[in-house]
Amino acid sequence: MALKKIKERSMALDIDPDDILVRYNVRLEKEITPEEAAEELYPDDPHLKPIAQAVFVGDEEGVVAGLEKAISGGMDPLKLIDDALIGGMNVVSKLYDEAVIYLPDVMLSSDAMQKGIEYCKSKATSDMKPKGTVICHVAEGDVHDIGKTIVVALLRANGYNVVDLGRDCPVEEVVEHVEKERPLMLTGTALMTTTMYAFKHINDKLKEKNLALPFVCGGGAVNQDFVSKLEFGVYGEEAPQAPRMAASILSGANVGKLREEFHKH
Amino acid sequence: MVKRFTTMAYDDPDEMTFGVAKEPVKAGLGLTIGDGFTTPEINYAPRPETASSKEKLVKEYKSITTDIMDRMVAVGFPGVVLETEHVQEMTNNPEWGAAVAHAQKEIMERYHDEYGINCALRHTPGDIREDRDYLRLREDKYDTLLKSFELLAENGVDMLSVESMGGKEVFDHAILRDDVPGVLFSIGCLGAMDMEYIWKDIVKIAKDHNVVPAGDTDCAQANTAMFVAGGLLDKNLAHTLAIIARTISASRTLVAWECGATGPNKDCGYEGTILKSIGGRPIAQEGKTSTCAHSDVMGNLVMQCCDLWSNESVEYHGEFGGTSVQAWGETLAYDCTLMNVALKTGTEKTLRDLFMLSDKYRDPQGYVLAYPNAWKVGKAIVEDGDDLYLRAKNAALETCNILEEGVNEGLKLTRFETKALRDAKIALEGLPDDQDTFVSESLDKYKKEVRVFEPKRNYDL
Amino acid sequence: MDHLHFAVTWGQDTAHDLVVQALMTLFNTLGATPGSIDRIAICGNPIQLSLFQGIPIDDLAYAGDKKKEKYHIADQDRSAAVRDAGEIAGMGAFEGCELRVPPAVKHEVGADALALLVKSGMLDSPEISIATDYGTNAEMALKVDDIIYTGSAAAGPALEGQEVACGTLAKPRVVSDIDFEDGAFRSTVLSDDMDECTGALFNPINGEIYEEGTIAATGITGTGVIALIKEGMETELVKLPHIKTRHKALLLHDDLYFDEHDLVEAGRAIGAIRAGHVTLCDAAGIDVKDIETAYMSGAAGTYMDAAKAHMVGLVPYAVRDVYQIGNTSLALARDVLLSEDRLWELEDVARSVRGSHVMFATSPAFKKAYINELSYWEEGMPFERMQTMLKRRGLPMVAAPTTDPKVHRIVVKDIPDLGTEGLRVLERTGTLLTMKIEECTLCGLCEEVCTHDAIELHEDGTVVIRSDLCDGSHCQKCIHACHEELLCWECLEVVER
Ligand code: B12
Ligand code: SF4
Ligand code: SF4
Repeated sequence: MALKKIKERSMALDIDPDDILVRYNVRLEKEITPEEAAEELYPDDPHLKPIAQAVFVGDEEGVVAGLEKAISGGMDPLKLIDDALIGGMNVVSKLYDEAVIYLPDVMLSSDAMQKGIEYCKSKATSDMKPKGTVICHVAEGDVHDIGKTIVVALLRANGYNVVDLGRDCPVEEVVEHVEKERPLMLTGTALMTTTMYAFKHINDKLKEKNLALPFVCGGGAVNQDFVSKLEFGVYGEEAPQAPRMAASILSGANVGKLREEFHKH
Repeated sequence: MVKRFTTMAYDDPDEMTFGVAKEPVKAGLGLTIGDGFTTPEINYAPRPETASSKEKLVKEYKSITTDIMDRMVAVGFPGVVLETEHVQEMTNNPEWGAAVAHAQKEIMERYHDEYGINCALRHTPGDIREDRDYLRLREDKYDTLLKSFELLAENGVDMLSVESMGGKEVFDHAILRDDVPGVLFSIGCLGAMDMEYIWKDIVKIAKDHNVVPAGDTDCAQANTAMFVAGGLLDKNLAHTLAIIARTISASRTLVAWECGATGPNKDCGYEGTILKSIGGRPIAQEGKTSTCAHSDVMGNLVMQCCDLWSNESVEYHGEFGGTSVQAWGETLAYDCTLMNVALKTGTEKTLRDLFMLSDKYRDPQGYVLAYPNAWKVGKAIVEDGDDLYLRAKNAALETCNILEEGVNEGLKLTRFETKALRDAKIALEGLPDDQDTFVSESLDKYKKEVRVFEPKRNYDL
Repeated sequence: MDHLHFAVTWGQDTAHDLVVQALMTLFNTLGATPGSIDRIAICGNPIQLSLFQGIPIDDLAYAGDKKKEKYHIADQDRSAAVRDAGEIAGMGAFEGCELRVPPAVKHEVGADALALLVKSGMLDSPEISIATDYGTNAEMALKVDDIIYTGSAAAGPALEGQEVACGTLAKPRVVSDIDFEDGAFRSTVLSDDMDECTGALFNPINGEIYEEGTIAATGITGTGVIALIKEGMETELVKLPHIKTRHKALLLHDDLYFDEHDLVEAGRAIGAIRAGHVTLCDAAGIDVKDIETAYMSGAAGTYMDAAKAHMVGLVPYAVRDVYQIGNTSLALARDVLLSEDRLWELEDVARSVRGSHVMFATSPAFKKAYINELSYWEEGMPFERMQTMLKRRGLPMVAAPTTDPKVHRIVVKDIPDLGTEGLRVLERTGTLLTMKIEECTLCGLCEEVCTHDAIELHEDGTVVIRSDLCDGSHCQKCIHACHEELLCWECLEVVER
């Protein structure tokens, strides 16, 4: 009502279209619940589907129970990671991209998937070959780990193996892990202007040790200018860019290419 | 010879209304189009079996013409335009078309003399420039087409139009793949180049015979997109993409006017309002009155700035209330009467806004074509009016912006439409800044992808 | 400019000098000489108190224990203290003058939070109540039975008007409130005496003015921002995360506006506070609806229309009474000044509260609740979905307010009694930061982009930034504007005075 009043005061002639027409296509879409939207995307296989479903609703116990059943039925635990767990997570990513579901849903599902992956690994006889490994951390001295937590969830949702070094992670520890894991990329998050300089130290140490790799830095405190000054630095403005950057790296992008693709000015 | 538009005819969209154009056009027997009133333009198709011989066709068109003129006089309408869209045979045999025109005009003259009814005859030869799967835009068939125009102008036709189809081979490929750069290339570049080629000649013929070189329409492409997009529930093509094809087509259809055509453009060019905002010349439009031919989602809105009001095409046959052309013609004429009353009573802006608002939010296509937004697209086109590529790209990007803003103003989009829009915008923003690069990149791409694309032969590229 | 950032970048000594100089200016303005002052009492957050006293702030600047361990950063003692003001560097002339310093609870919950607890009176009331300081650190305390749960949600400066394009701290001639009136928005503007005056009647869609205000405004306070969001939501001009006008912004008078970026910033702050409330309730094992009374403090908490704050979620939804208690820090400093016993009582309170302090940094509940809030404010997750999520996460439930609480405005102004001479605000309490730019093209872009009039470009290519006006590291618009990348934050030097 109030909106109508404001509009009346301002515009020449305009209407609230709801009274004269129905966008049935929009209305139909609205009535689809996330669960219904997901229903169309699950794998058909009767063993895989319940697991994917449990991933989607974030039901950790359901995931493990489904895996247990499938494995005892003779399915390969590593193949289940790809087909059931990542399959389920693909549904989550897709619907998140389409804004049918929201960040908290992704976080729940990501946790459930992670539980499932651990379970499968414990049952597997060989090693799994993930799409690629990414190391994530929060700068030393900084406790703000929510942005990083989101980045981790989204990377996992897209099938990457994430080594999560948590918050307040000392420079040396980050470099050690890079040396050990040789990941596709390293991410850092800093929300305090006092802590972001850790990224510079990490960059220098990586250079010293000849460990060239894209180092994506994000978080409220840092900005593109600061990050561009680091030899390996790529600025990450929003968490959903992380999996896209990883995908670019898989298809051959280096630091320069990533900057070209993701930097703003 | 080609004079590009780099400024707007209207500084303020609110100036634009139906029935009034900046440059009215005199045509036929006592008619002036865009000079303060709207006029019905009746369209028809002969029954298929009559196309077998010239005589049968002439007879059919005589009945059609008589029926229409009769009804116009019977109900008391002051003016009418008849448009004959050729069946292939009439263009392939130019003298058939000429004979039809001659017969029609004789009847119209009789009514004009007897009752004083103002009238004009438009003919639109078919674009016959193809050979099976291949376009043959500049070869033998082209000569036949020009011959047809020539004979029509000699035989009493008042306004010459065509629905040219340059670029269609690439467009058909691109639109099925949601390939917006391809749509831009096919309509904005290829289509525009072909129009320039053909319209220079049409204008010359018209001038030589003192008839009106009226205008074109992007029926072949933008309307294809609109029909593939379909109704609200169809999902073959997002309506957000269909409207991008449409606004690009405005940059293309404008070329006829730039080559010297004076309007009114062809009725099925839903890009008309954009053209009018730029060129200030009269436009023919169709909407709710063309439901006999197809359904659209902006039946009232397109009336907002029309000068001729048309029914697209109806097959000639009997109805309870007379023949089909009488029924539809009468409907058109009553609509025009309403608009003319509004013009006389100074309420035309209100009526225009009522037309516009009744469909503005129905669909993204209507939203962008609503005159204030159509004007914005026009403005984006003239900003780079000298560069066919850039101005088409401007039109497309402005469309994206208008839709994005629209979402904040009451336009509702589905996720499907939103996603297509987002992808389109990203694709457009990634395009090069200059025509040469874009054209050469596109040539490489579509030569590979489109088997029937022959750039040298058809566009001298 | 954020004082923590300033101190870390340009040295704690420089920061300390600034604080002391500001105090000296204050004394001079009041005509008080060192010898004539017997006693000083201070209050504020731990950073402020440390900067003044010259206590190292490394333990505040770096929050993580791992880093503190690595660099041997010791936690400083911030208990209640009585010192000689002459010990403070730069205040030698005050030897013999007594300085009373109230204690901090935990390192990020300072004396200002304590002030809130004590001055609200909640310690003596049996009700389940919550007190919140609506400032940068967003300290909060929940009292259930006799246990007090404290925390700090670090909401950031948005509620104090910063981070918001046209935002500003509460001061004369700024918009402090907005109401829907007769199909339009009406603003309230603070007068030179900080009284609320009728502002313009305007249309937020296009900025059309229907009625001029009595005073022109230069900014919007945090409370104005809250009111804009509340009225925006109610008129459906704000539909999270969007502002549904052509300009994607609400247009006010005097070139002021509020855009979608501002909405995100405000949302982050409001969300942090609601998530903090949820976290404290979780720790106490109660539901948000069990909270009966809310106390609002801080400058923002004083001027904010409590009913509007309640509507947007800044006040627990089911409370019956809201008390607006003003700037409790100032009141507490005054108490301490007048009674030393009071100081030691405070130390006792601080000690008793420490045990039930909730570290939001390591609290899973806070993280989950805050991610929900981010999704609600920034992604447009529906409120109902947020409730579902809280339920699935086993967290205390929030709901939309249904009944209006009774609002008790204990004080009308931030500083209730201005005395006979009224209020004057010290200007230029900051310093100047400068650098000479050798290859400067004098294009003037850096000056042009600054919305705070903080930067000045001299003809020889020297730029001078006023630290009191500059928005600091969060802004850096000037740095980005320089096409030659000549301006550089770290190269700026403090001008010696
Ligand atoms: C929530 C919060 C907290 C929570 C943190 C909880 C947690 N587990 O993280 C709590 C309450 C614990 C907290 C504490 C403190 N905080 Co705090 N806090 C905030 C607040 C309100 C929001 C931060 C946040 O989570 N944002 C949301 C996340 C999602 O954003 P983000 O991490 O930046 O991530 C986004 C992007 O940057 C990007 N991104 C991030 N990383 C990456 C990586 C890659 C690869 C990519 C692609 C993208 C990307 O993606 C995300 C979005 O999609 C801000 C103020 C504000 N309004 O912003 C202050 C703020 C960050 N805190 C601040 C401070 C100072 C503190 C304290 C030190 C306060 C004190 N006085 O002691 C304490 C820490 C002390 C301690 N020992 O606990 C200051 C920092 C000021 C400065 N100069 O640097 C801020 C700015 C508030 C302020 N102005 O005062 N805080
Ligand atoms: S533009 Fe520069 S000087 Fe101005 S407030 Fe921002 S950082 Fe400070
Ligand atoms: S923007 Fe850079 S080059 Fe331009 S005046 Fe400022 S410092 Fe000089």
